[in-house]
Amino acid sequence: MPNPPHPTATRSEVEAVLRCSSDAREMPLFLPAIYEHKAAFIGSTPSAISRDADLFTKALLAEYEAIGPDALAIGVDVYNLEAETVGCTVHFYEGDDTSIPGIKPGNHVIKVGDDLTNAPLPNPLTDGRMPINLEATRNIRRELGDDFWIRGAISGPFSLAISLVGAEDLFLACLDQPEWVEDVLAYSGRIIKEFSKGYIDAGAELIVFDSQASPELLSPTMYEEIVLPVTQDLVKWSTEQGVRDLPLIIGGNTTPIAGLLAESGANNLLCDFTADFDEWAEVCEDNGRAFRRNISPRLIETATPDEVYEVAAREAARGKDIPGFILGTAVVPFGSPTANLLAIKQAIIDSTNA
Amino acid sequence: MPDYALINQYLYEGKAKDVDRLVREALDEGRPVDEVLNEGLIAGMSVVGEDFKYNVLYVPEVLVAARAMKAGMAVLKPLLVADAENNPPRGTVIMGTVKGDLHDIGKNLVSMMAEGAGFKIIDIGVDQPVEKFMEAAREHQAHIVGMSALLTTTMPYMKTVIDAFRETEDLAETSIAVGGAPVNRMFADEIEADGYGADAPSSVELFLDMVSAA
Repeated sequence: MPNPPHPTATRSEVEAVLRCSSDAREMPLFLPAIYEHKAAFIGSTPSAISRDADLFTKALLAEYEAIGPDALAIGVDVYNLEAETVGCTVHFYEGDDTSIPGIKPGNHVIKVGDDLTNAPLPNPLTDGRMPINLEATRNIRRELGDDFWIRGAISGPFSLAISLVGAEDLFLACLDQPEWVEDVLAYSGRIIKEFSKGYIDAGAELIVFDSQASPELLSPTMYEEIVLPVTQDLVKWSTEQGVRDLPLIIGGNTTPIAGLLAESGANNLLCDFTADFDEWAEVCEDNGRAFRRNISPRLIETATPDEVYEVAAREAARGKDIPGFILGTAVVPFGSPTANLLAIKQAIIDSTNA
Repeated sequence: MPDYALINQYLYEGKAKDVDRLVREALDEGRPVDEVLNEGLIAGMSVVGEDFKYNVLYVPEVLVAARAMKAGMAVLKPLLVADAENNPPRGTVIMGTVKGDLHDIGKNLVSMMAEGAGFKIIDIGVDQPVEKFMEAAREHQAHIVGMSALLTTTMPYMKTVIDAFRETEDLAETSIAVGGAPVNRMFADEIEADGYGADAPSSVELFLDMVSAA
């Protein structure tokens, strides 16, 4: 079993924080968002590890060993997996190109107005790259044991719908054909649930990403009318499957929809580095939600460890007395210095000892 | 006299058919094409840009407004082309998302709004290497190159493009603007871009400043 540079949280410690329990440990959880950067830990590329379960497993274990996060997330190019299984073509980069795989504009499979009644659903055991993620999940569960929190990364309904339909077409449809948008979001929800079942069976819990529904793109009113109901349905369904602790991650300045996100039912929400800390803290405290504060990815990529430490220490001090406070990062750029990630953990440790 | 305020309003509301109709009516009344363009369409789109900047409108509303703008432009374009000497574009802008980045919504929004402000836009698409930016800039004798990135991983490539332009004699004077969710002014200064657009409306203002300073 690999040795992390410091002790990681046990499952019960994680659960106590996420549930804002009064007996939760004082030290904030350390949950950096590492996806494409996983490849850097083994000198590989995002395209390579996302297509090979053994490489992916090695990268996850290397991440654990290098920085000791309090949870691992199974995912590299998160927003592509579900869409790929129902026909979207993902563009990969070969050789030593470290670009992140993606779906090129135009490679979408659904046209606005399509009847989705009999649209296909994936089998996570056989379709696309889902089996790779599931195999990596099983490998990590076996290596790190049952007492470590592992999350399978899934798309949120709106972000998946964008992958399926294309951003412009979907945004236009939000005004032109809102009822059809509800249909496509419901279809997205069905796809996501199939993938989720695979993760749950493989021994992981879940983490939902829906950054395309950020208020930097979609109005709070549209979020409430179109996205929130299908998100609530996904959260409720996850709970019924035994996933009690569910992070819902929407990047950017989500302050205008903080209250709506609390209504989603997800018990762990994200206050990104551009969002208003105080407003978010109030919403989370009022609603009993754990809240993750992010450090800027650009800082992690380019600053010195001392500079990163200073910012992380400041954020840790701000969150110290907030129930369910977590310190994390926005998605860490490929090749960011490990010392900068460890500086965040050190700031967390020192904030507890202060 | 055509009711340009009404054209502005229909454009704002994304009513493409009404914009098309009123633009035709204005031309039928004998109004000059540049007047219809400026007072009917560009003025309307500038209100959309302002309201987007201040979160009164969001992406879906901007896209329907841009679609209405396009409907009006489709009527005007043949006339503008036929009388290009009297109706030159405000400038030519090459727009592209840099290599390794497949996102296009930000680039497209800037392109639509800049077109709405009277610029000629050459959209070279996503995941574009430096060579494509240079080739397009040469071919279209561009005044401005606008680069977009959504990923922190792809931002540094903007510097590669800027350096290549600066080191190439016939392209060294091209104005280069950068933008995208993770980009900020500090980064733009760091890579020595000529300007930074925090959002689509600000990018259009930047383009206007760049061409007026040229």
